[in-house]
Parts: sequence; C-alpha cells; structure tokens
Amino acid sequence: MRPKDALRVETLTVTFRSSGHAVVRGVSFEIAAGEAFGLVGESGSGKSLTCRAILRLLPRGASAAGRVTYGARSLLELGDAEMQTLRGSTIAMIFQDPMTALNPVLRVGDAIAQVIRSHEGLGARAARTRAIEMMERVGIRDAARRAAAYPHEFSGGMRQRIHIAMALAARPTLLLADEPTTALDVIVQAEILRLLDDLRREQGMSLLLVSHDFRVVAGVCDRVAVMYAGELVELGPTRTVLQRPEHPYTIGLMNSLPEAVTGERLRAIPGVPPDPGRLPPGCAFASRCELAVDACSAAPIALSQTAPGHWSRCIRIDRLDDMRRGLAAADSACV
Amino acid sequence: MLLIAEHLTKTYAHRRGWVPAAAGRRVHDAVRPALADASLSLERGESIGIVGESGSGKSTFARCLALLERPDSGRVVLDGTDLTGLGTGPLRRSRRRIQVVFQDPYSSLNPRLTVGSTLREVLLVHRLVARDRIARRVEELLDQVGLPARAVDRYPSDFSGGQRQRICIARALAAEPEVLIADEPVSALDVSIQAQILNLLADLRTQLGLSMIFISHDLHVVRYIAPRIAVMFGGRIVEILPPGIPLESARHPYTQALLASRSRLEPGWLVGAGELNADLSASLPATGCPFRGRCPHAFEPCHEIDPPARDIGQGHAVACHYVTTASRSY
Amino acid sequence: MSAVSPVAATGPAQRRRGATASWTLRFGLTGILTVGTLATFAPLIAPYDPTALGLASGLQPPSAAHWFGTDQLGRDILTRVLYAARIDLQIGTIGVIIPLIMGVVIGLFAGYYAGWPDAILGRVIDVVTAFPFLVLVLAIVAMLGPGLRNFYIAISLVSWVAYARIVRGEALSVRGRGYILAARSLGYSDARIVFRHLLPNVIVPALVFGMSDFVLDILAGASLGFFGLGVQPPTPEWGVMIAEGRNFIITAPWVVIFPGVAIVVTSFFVSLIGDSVSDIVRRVHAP
Repeated sequence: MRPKDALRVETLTVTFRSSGHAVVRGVSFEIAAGEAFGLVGESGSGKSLTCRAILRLLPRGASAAGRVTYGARSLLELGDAEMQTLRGSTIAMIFQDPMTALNPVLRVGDAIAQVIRSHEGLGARAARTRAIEMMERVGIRDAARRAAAYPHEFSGGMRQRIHIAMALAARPTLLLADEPTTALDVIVQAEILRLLDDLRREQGMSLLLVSHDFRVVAGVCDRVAVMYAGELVELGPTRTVLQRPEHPYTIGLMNSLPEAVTGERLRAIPGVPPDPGRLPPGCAFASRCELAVDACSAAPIALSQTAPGHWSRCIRIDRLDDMRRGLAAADSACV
Repeated sequence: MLLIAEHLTKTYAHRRGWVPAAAGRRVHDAVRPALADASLSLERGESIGIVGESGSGKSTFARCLALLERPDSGRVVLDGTDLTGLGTGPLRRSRRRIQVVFQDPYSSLNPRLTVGSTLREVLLVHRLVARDRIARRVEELLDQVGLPARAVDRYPSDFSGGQRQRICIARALAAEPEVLIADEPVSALDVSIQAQILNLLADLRTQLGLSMIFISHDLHVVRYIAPRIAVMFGGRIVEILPPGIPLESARHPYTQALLASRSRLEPGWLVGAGELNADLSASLPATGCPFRGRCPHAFEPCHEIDPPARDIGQGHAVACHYVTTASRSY
Repeated sequence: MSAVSPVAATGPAQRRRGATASWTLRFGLTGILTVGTLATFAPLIAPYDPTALGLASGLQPPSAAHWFGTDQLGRDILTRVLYAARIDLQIGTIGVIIPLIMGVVIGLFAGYYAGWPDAILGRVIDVVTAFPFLVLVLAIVAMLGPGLRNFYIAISLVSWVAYARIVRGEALSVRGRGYILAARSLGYSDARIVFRHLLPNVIVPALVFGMSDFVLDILAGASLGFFGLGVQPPTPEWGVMIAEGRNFIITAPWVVIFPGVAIVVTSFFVSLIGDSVSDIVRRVHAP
C-alpha cells in the first residue's frame, strides 16, 4: 500500500500563450487523503483544465503557474520522467470518452495488463490474471472470456468500466475523473458512479470528480467546489452547499434543474458565460447576477469563510436569502 | 386528431453482403427491430414527451414521425393525410408541416450560410412570405427566439451552443409547422443554458399553439415541457403516463428503474440507484419482452410474449405482464 | 424571452481581415495577375513579331536589342515567351475548369446518393487512376491527332476523375451531417441540397487541387509539345520552346532557360494561391 497523500492546489493559473488569456485563475483547494472532492462548472469554467494541469496534461499552448503538491512532491516542478512514472501508478485519470484511453486495436485484457506490467513490473501471466480480476471487479461478467474482445465490441457503459479498470489497475492513490458519466445513459450513469464510489472506499483512494452536473457530484463527493470563468466561487461540504448555497451562481445552477421547479417556469440564469478575454476586474458573474452592484465588478473579490469549511466569493451574501427561497433542493436536502 | 402514428415498425437489417445472397442464404440476420409497433396520437396544441435511453428507439421513432425515414410498416397520418403513402414530390412539400429540432446544435447548421440566409431559404423555398416582407419576417423569427437582429449577417461559428440551438428553433419555426419534434434539444448544452432553451420552447408552445413532441432521456425535463409521457425501451412504448399522474406512480419496472437511478440534488441519492447491474453488453432478447433480461419481476409469459400496452386506468397504460396481471387481480 | 448577451467578440469581419493579410496570397495573386497582364498585352509590349524569322542571325545571346536573346530560327525569345504565356495560361485555366466542373458534379451526386451510383464511380476512378496521367493523355492525343483542341479533350477525359474522387470522398462524409438532414426535413429538393448545402462544404479541397492541377496541365502541355503532339509550330508555347531548343542546351542555354523559368515562376505563383486559399477557408469557416 502506498502512503496516502493529500493533494494541495495553490493559486493554480492556466494561461493560453497565443491569447494571453487565463482560463484558470488562482484556483486553490485541498483534497485530503481518501476524500472525494467535486468540481462543478459549465463549459468554459476551467474545470477540465484544472484537472489536466494537476497531471501536467495540458494542451499545447497552455501553461500552468502556481503550486500543486501531492504529499511531498511538487507536481508542477517535477521532471518529465518523474511525472511520467507518477501518472497511472500514483495518480490516474479517466475521461468522458473512454476511447481516449482504449486503443481500438488492442484486446481489452491486454490493454489492462499493459498498465499493470509497466507500473508494477509483473510478468505476463500474473499481469493477465490481475487484469481479469480488475475486469470482474468493475462488473464485467464472464471476464476471462471477454478479456479477449476489442473495445468496439462493448457498449459505452462497458467501455467506461474497462477505462476505469485500466486507470485503477496499478492501484493509484488519487483518481481524477473528468466528466466520466456525461456521455452515458441515466441508469448506466448511476451504475458507474456507484462503482467509482465503491472502488474508492475499497482502495482508500482520493477522488477528484469534475462535472457540469451538480447532481452527479452531490451523490459521490464529500466536499464540492463551484467554478465560474476560471475562478472558484464557492467551496464547502456537499451537504452544507446544497442546504445553504452561498453564491448566486450556485443558486442559479441549482435553480436551472427541472426538479427545482416549484412554480411554472424554470429560473434560468440569463445571459451567457463571459469571454475569457473580457473579464471585469471583479466578479465575472456580476453581469448575469440579479444581486450585483457596482462594487461587485470593480475590484477582485477574495474568498471569505461563511461557515467552518464553507467559502464564498460573494460580497452580497446577506441578500442571498431571497434567492434561496423557493429552492426546492434546499428544502429536500434538509435531512 | 392532428397527428396519428399507427404501428410503426422499423428494422435496421444487418446485410451480410451479396455473396451469401447469391448462394441462397438468408440475407438478414434476425435482429430485434429498432422500432416495434409504436403508436401515438397527438391533438392539435397538445404536447407529448418521449423518454428513453440510447437504443430505446426514440430517435428512430422521431425520424419516422418526421418521415426522414420510411417505416417498414405502419402509417403516419397528419391532419387526415397519410404521409407514408405519399410520393416523393408531395412528401417533400408536406415536410414543412412537421419540423425537427435536433440534438447537436453544432452540426445542425450549414457553416457556410449566414443565419439570415438559412432562415430566408426556408421562407423562399416554401413561399411563405412575400419577397418584400422576408427581411421583416426574419427579424421577427430572431426576436421570437431571443436573438438580436444583427445575428442575420453572422455565421453559426460566431455563436455558442445555446444560441445555435435558438437559430435551429428559429429555422424550424420559419417553416410554420403544425408539429414540432424536439429530439434531445438540450442534451448537448450546459445546465444553465438548458433552462433557457426549455423556457423558450415552453413559451413558444403556448404562444404559437404548437403541437410538440419532446424527446429526452430525462424524465423531469420532459415532464416540465410535455406533461403526457411515453416511455420507450427496446423499440417499444412500455408505458404512457398521462398529465395528471405523478412520475412516482409509474408502474413499469423500467420506468421505475429510471426514476430510481435519476441523479438528484441530494447527497446520498446513489443509494438505491443503479440496482440492475445487468451485463449491459448483452443484446436484447430476441423474443418476448425486451426488458426481461434486466427485470426483477420476469416470469413465464415474459419470455415468449411481447406484452401489449394495457390501460390501467385514467389513460395510464403499461406494457408489462407483471403489472397487468397484478392489477387484474385487484 | 430570456436576455441573450451580444454575439461573440470575434466576428467574421475581424477574422477575414486577419486572414487576407496573408502575404502568401497577396504575393501569389500579384504574381499571377502580372503574368496575366503581360500575356494579355503581349501584342502591345512585345518588341518583335513572334514568328518573324531570321531578323538577326540565330542563337544570339541576350543583348540590348534582344533581352532574352534569339532562338535557332532568329526569333526574339522575349516576344515568344510573352506570346506563349497566353497559350500556357489558357492551357492551365481550361485544363482545370472543364474537368473540375465535370468531376465535381459527378462526385457530388455519387457521394450524396451513395449506393450504386457511388459504387460505379468508384470502379471508374480505380480504372482511370491505374494509368499514369501523362500516358493516358498521350494515348488519347495520339489517337485524335496533335493540336490544342484535342489536348483539351484528352485532359478533360482523364483529369475529371481526380476531382470526382476528392469531392466524392468529402461528400460521403458531409452527407451525414446534421444540416443536411435538417435540409431534408425542411423539404428541400435534392438538387438544392446538393448544390446549395453540400457543394460549398466540399468544394474547397477540389479548388486547392485545381491549383496544382493548373501547374500539371502546363507541364503536360509542355511534355506533349516535347513530343510534337501539343501545340504545333510556329505557335509559341513554353514547352515547345524548350523542346525545340533542347539541342542547344549547351551552346545556347538561353533558348531553354527563359521559357523554363516562365513555367517555374507561373507555377510558383499558382501554388502560393493554392496554399493560402486552403488556410483562409479553414480559418474563416471553422465549424
């Protein structure tokens, strides 16, 4: 068993060289060993890039600044070779499209075995046995026979399971999951999330789950952070954030969901997310916020603690009660 | 009755190539039809939702309803005209009356045409508006979907996903359809944008008196737009929930599984979700109820007989041997 | 109606401005326009008559009187190069336009309908491309007889296949796109869908190929001229000039150099245009 470490992200900033725009701006959070942490945001929020920055898998033209430590290691400063050994063995990642990881010309059993062999140095036979075990553990029946099949012979949900098997084959202590269930059907999504949850508890792994869907994160994560236009706008224990959200954007997101409807209309957030090149010095959400005042966009706003462990980047929290009223989710989450 | 679809069936056959056929072998594998005996009726101004996951046949159903594909058997009757029997020419002219908004706003618009050109083309081809009034009508349409007038000269690549979907809706409305089929119109969009588009569709439905068929995998989203819901699985309509009935009183085991597995804004919703743990790569059984491989209540009749839809009261219909036997024993 | 913020900051005008600042395109266009102008006004600017013989003794090196020197029959090379430009530019243009139109239309319909029309086209393409281009053209011209008109016929019969193949490939992939399905659902006729929706989205690779085909056609003309199967003397044509001057490569290289440079320079400008066209279109209309 590898030592369990905590992940610390400190003022992570990701900038695209060509435009000079920062799409991740000063993001800081911590994931304790064995904790499940959720990152919620829509497209353009920077959540995926945050995830990729941790593993130094940024697209060409993007560079990361700040500090990311996993235990004693400072990830942004490691040499390429060291980072390479870390990936897969200590920190693993799964993606929305399992075909990013699954080589279409490799049989799935071989693909998983390869991961095991390169990180654990086991022989071919032992690796294959472990691969079949992993496949069974992720819920693929008749694994010994199906290990000889190719990715295209499986459905989307099964491919995602195989993807997970590959990611967890070398027993990483931290798993980064970037929208792992977005492309899946409702029932399959629930099954995959259950699987991730079970495996996480079983292996004592930390989990960073990135999603645009608050509900997905709500079901799996102990703590959650909401991102908007590259910044964290709210951070806290899942239960508290759901019961008492402390940021207008969070409330807006929750209101957008049909089950939040108590009246006749969905309360949609008006407008569209901002262009990363035209952000105001202050709160990026101000232009779409019903509580915004001039002070909101004038100067940068820092995260402030509203309750133990609960942070918000909003200066209008005293006015949030009106927005929270009628939030059906807040009522039902009061368990 | 504005639109009636009767017993639509469509099978995508897996052709084995011409050599086996020449050798006298059977050309088509025995496969489960993508759509089997699906029927639907829609009054003028009414909306109905279709819920199903991938492989349920909902997209095939939508395409057959819009006559984008010819069903193998069955009819689609619009306002008394049997569309399935029409020849190519008359069919093309009737297409305008049933319009579709597709799932992917990024590929649904011709990247080389400006928004204005796209909308004008609809008006010109169907001669809906006098030449001198075209510009004004285009502006009206843009306004109806919440886009600024200067969008006319812009290309689709200048717009976000949500905005592009609005353009697609405007294009569909330009044809002045009687029926609007929305096939997963918000699935590819961010959550906050989904709400905007859903509100737009609901408003348009009321303002224009459109009859709408709304397809999605999300039961709650469908309920918001179209109170009457048809649930599909394995190419069949397995349950019909009328407007008055709450979702929780769904009786078909699949619908119940769908409801139980829905993600919610509550921590701990995962408990009790995704119970099925079925081997999802197994294809649907060739005979009997398509759901029997994953159904906790499957018993003898399920293996042989495809259950017909039965009304169990107040317009609530279920196609399930277990349910209909149980309710009959009251 | 929910409020929608103004359209994205990078509008089409900005993008196109950035694209046409492309120096490649400017340079290429300027070059070709220069060549074209020189060719058009050849009768006005050429110092001598292109077919006038023996004005001075033959094979005079470049001098003040004859900037490019004279050929073996005493004709002024500068004059002949200018007059030849008219023929060669014509060869390049016609040799591209006719096969392009033929190939694009056939490729479009084959790609759109797929099925058996496409299968037949596929076989035709396979057969024609099995032969080297020049061999087929030569064979046809040999059968029909030398001359520019037969050259055009031969080129058209062989070249269209390349365009058809390009367009058919693109069409096969584009026909499945959402907006084509949308066009069908709007009740548009097949012709409208093919020409207004499919064509603009598949034509660019064919146009880019056309640029390099332009060059190939000039070279083909030159090759045929070399064999005496192309333009007939005394009509000047760059390839024929090189062919006729091949015996004098060592003793009077200017006879061959100047027409050769003309071919290279023209081809270069055309290829510059081709390069920048594909870049521009890709940038402006990124979906």
